[in-house]
Amino acid sequence: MATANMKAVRRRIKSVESTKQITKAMELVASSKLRKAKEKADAAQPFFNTLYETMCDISNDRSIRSLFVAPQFRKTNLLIVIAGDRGLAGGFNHNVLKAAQARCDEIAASGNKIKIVAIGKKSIDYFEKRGYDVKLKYSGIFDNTEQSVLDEISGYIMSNMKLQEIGSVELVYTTFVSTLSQEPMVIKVLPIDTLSNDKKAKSLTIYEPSEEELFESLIPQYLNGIVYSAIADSYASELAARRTAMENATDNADAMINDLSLLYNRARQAQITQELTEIMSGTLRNN
Amino acid sequence: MKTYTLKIVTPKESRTEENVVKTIVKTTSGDIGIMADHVPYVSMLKQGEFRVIYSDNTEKRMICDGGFIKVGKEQTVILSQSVS
Repeated sequence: MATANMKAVRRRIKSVESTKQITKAMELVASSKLRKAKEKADAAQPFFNTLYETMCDISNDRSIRSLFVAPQFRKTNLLIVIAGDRGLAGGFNHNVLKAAQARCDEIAASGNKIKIVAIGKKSIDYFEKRGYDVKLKYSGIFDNTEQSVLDEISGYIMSNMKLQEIGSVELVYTTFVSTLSQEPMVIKVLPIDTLSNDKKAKSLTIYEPSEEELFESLIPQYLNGIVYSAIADSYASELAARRTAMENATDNADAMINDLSLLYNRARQAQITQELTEIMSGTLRNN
Repeated sequence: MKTYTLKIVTPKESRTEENVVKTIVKTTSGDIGIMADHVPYVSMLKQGEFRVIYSDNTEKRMICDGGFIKVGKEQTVILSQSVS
């Protein structure tokens, strides 16, 4: 019996070891990619800040009327949901999709319709399976986000806002807090109601061609910028989540190998002791 | 000649050009040259070339993909989807 047990334990140790090798490799890949993704996410920040500042400036200086600023009464909300392409990242996909689902339920409860722009394979699968109206879907764009993808999304939003097809745009993604913690977020993209409106501080800035035209021309850029940085942020979070998950998996594999080795050694020891006892008792009887 | 600092911001990177004497950009309402102490000014840019002239009389030509230029008191910024 002891031999059979030993064999089984040895086989299990082997299988845990090969799993450990995989998780270790994934951890290393994720951490090297994470560094690059983090740099990308950081690099996108000044662009968006400058853009947002300028938009604030314009709305500060002149009272502009724009369809993208005023609250809309159309009963359709567009949700852009960014999740990962792949699993094995701990609770990453689950958390962001749970936040999106909660928001969807809220919108549905208030009687509005929902349209979805899904980014990432997991997000596409999730919403298509549940029969949501998925308007645009993108996967495999995290490593290299093409300009054309962003243009398509912002173009879609612009034309549908103008046609009054959609009333508001929200973005659900995961933000990178630290390597150990990532948080799902729901932010409102359009209409922009957070622009500061400080009537006192008027500057003498000249706007060309006109404030309104300039403002409208900034909207697609604003959309591009916000979606781009959300994608970069989400990707960095995904990699960080995967790294942590894989690190834990590697640690668990180590612990399991320890336990199993202990079991194996015990079984081996027991077998040796038994053999010794058998030999001893044999010789004793012969004498 | 008085110089200023020009910031060029794209989603992929942001960089600063020091010792700039003049920047010539194509805006939607025509070409314009920006020197130090310009009045605050914001304008849309056309797709195409813009030129930066430095205090040592060298010139750098770059291409931008639309965007806008913002001339403020403290700094001048060119913001575009891509600059090369």
